[in-house]
Amino acid sequence: MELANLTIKRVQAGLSTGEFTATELQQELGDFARQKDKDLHAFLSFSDPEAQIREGSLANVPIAVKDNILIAGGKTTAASKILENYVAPYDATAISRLRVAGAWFQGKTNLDEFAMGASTENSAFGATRNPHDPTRVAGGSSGGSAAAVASGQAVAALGSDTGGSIRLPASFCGVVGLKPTYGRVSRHGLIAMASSFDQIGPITKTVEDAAILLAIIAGQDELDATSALQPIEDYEVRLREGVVGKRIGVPTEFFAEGLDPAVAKVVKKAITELEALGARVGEITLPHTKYAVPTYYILVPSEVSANVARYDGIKYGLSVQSENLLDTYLDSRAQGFGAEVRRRIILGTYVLSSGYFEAYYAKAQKVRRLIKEDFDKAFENFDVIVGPTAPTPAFKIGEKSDPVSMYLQDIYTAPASLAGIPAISIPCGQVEGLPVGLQIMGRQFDEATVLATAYAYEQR
Amino acid sequence: MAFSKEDIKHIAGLARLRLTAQEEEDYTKEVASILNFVDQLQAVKTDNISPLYQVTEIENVLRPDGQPYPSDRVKTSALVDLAPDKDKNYVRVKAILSRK
Repeated sequence: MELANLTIKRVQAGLSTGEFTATELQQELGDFARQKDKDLHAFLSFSDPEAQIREGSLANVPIAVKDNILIAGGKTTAASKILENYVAPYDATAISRLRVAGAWFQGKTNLDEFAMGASTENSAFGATRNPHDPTRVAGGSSGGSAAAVASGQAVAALGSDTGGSIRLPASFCGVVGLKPTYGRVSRHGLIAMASSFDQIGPITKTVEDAAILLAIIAGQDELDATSALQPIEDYEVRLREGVVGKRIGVPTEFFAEGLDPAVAKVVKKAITELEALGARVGEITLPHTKYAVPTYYILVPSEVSANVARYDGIKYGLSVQSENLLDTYLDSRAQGFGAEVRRRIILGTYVLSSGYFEAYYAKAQKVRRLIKEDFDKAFENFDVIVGPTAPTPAFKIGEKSDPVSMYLQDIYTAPASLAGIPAISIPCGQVEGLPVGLQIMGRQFDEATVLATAYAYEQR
Repeated sequence: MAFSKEDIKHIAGLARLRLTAQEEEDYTKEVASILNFVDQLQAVKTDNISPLYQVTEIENVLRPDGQPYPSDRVKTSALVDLAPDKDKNYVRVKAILSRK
């Protein structure tokens, strides 16, 4: 079997025709992934092959899972020292749905600690390297999942996206990454980073595979009150509807200062190709785009500071037993949290503190509404909005030491996160051998149109 | 708004973070630079704009009466078992009040 080109569809065909057995697939893919991982460090742990009979629509299909998503009985570290030995007591809802469908969980992939980062360099267990150039980052925070899919170590993977954490690494590694609408996929069992943003989504080699995985993991869940009741469409059927007559908006602000001109050229070419396929392309404006990253970096650290308060050395995770209760908190957190996590806790605690709340947090929530309203207006006249996923191709490991320059990697991904809309990144060309991603954003709960547009481009 | 070393000490205390002198130094600079960056929001006019708390604006998701535990997918005992120090179904912590 040719591992690099294995998709979910190919695995299903290979298993059903007897080209290979589930055990052979698990063994061969496992060996290859372990070997390759010496160079890339995409994985934090591997599962052993399991000779078990599985049935369902994804029977025996190997899936790699970002290590902030719980799989019962296995380690889930979130790439943090504070959860280094944490064993998940239950399955995340996305996992239990894939399990019912017959998937085999191949291993857990690397990430920035607690998904806080844009490069996977913040992992407490070492950075993931980009398969296209190992001196460069894989993007983040789902860098392990994206690198694993790009290198052929994985057939398909789950990631999570808060401000770009699926789309950015998909762009840097040249694979497909879909952030669903907020509430489309249950967050139960996803280790919380910023609860009003976090979403689980697929990272795959093809748009079709992304549609297949989304159909399985999507849907309302009693264990996540923010999961939505909206009906799930038949994504695989709608994939083939094409783009003829579809209205595509191109935001001026996504091609302004800060965008690498070489990336702009590749993305603009992709847009003309969509036009050639029959789409109607028009320029739009999303005037609050430049405020997306500052808004994001007030709201997210605020939610982070509340969410990671649970790591106290008492309930679970790393516990340093000190003289008294306060020292147990302080010592456990001092040994357990890395620099970016602490930076966000400090920032979030500060902007929520008495005297600053109105000026920062309340202000940012108002700007969040303005950003969402920009999209609402645009979607009155357009079906999807397209632009670059990232301002540059993958950068060098160690290149961005200043936090603000790292945060600006989210310049084109944070807006969709703030608006809660679905967005996909698909490969659309290269700059000096490094992949460039095309981002396609849609109306809330309209993943079907986003996927159909992506599919039309991919199959052109 | 200026962010000082006094601020960092106060905030670290509230957030239960122990910082070394060097970390206090570094975080003061970094957080000040991030605050300077996010301060550009002050230029946005937000009069009469209501805050957006939840982006899909779903409200009042309630469970039916009579089912306090709608799911058996998560077991309380499995969660308590994760605690480093426990007694039966309780998590044990160090006393915070002394006898004398």
